[in-house]
Amino acid sequence: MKKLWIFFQLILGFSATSWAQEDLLGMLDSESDQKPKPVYATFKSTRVINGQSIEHVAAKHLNFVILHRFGEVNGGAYQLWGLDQANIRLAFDYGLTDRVQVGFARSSFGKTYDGNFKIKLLKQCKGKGGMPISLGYYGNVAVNTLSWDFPNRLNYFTSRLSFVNQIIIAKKFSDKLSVQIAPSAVHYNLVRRTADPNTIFVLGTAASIRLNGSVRLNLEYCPRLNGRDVPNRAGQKLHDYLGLGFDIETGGHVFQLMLSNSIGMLEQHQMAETTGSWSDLAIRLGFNVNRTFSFNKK
Amino acid sequence: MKKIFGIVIILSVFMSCYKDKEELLYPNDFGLADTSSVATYTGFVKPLVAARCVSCHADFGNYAGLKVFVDNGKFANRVLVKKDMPSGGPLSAEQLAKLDKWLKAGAPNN
Repeated sequence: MKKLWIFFQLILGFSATSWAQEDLLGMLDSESDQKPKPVYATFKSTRVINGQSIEHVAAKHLNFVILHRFGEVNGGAYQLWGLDQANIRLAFDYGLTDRVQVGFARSSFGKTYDGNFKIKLLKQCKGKGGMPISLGYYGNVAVNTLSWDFPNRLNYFTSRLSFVNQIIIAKKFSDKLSVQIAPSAVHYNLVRRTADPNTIFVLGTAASIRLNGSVRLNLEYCPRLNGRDVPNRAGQKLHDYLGLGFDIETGGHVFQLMLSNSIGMLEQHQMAETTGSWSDLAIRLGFNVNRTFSFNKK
Repeated sequence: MKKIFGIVIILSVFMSCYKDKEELLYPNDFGLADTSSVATYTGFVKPLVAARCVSCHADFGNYAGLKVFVDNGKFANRVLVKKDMPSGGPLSAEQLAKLDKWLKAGAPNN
C-alpha cells in the first residue's frame, strides 16, 4: 500500500512539473507573439519582373543581374518568335547596409548607363503593434549614349539624362500573396514638342503569388497618369507596361522568366517608352538571372 | 571628405535636371523643315548607318552592301515600317523622314 502511494506521488509530481513547463512555454509563446517580428521575403528578388521590388541586397553583398529580352513574338517562325533578337541589361547592385543599396548598370536599349540608389525606410513586422507595410525609395539617373541625331547642332550633355523617383509601398499578406504599389515620376531633360510633358507620372503596381515552394507567379502593371497620347521619338504610339513572370529559385540564385510588352529593362524605358501592345502580340519573352556574391569577411 | 563628396553628387544630380523642349531649343531642325532637300548618302545616310547599324550589320559599311538591303526592301521594312531596328531604339521622326526621302529618291550614291 505504501509503495502504491509513493508511486502515485511520483506520477503526480511528474505531471505537475510538466504542467508547469507547458505553462512556461505558453507564457514564452505569448510573450514572443507580442514582440513584432520582421517579415522576410515579400518578393523573391530585388526586381518583381522589370521594376524594382521592396527587396534589397544584403549588406556587403553584390548582386549581379543579367536581364535579357528577346524580340517580339509576333515575328513568327522566321524570327523564331523573337528569339533571333536580343536586348540586354547588366546590373550590379551592392548593399551598403541591409537597408541601403547602390547600383550601376548598362542597357543595350539606348546604349544607356545608369546609377541607382534604393533605401528601405520602414519594414513590415508581424505581431502586435508591428508596422503593417514596408516602405522604400528608389531613384536612378540614366545617361543615353547613342550618337546624336544631329551632330552638327549645339547638343548638350544634360539632354542625354533622364531620372526616375519612386516610392515603393509593399505588403506581404501571407506566404502566398504579396502586393506592391510604386507611385513613380519619370523625368526627361529633353522632350520633343513644346506640349510634351518632361515628367511622366506612373503608378507602378505589382503582385506575387506563390504557386509552390520554389515557384512564384508575378504580375506587374504600370499605367501612365499623364502624357498618355505623347508618341516616342520615332512617332510610335506608346502603351502601358504589363508583365507576367515566374520566379524559380534554384539553389544559389533566382531565375526569373517573363512575358512583357517592354523592350527596355531600365525603369524609364519600361514605364514611359513601351511601344509593344499585348493586343497585337507585340510581347517579348525574357529572363533575369540573379547571382549574389558575398564580401562579408565574417 | 565623404560628406562633401556626397553633397557634390547630390547637388550635381539636382542641378542637372532640365525641362527642355526640342521644338523650342532647335526651331530650325525641328519637324520636317530640314527635309525640303534630299539628304545625301555621304552627308547623312553613311554616318547614320555607321553609328547605328554597322556594329551588327558589317555589310552595311559601304554603299554597295547597304544597297542590296535597300533594293530588296528589308532595310525600309525594319527601319521605317516596323521600326524594330536599330536594336538600340528606333530613329527619331526627323531621321526617319530624311531617310524616307533618300530612299524614295532612289537611294542615290551622292
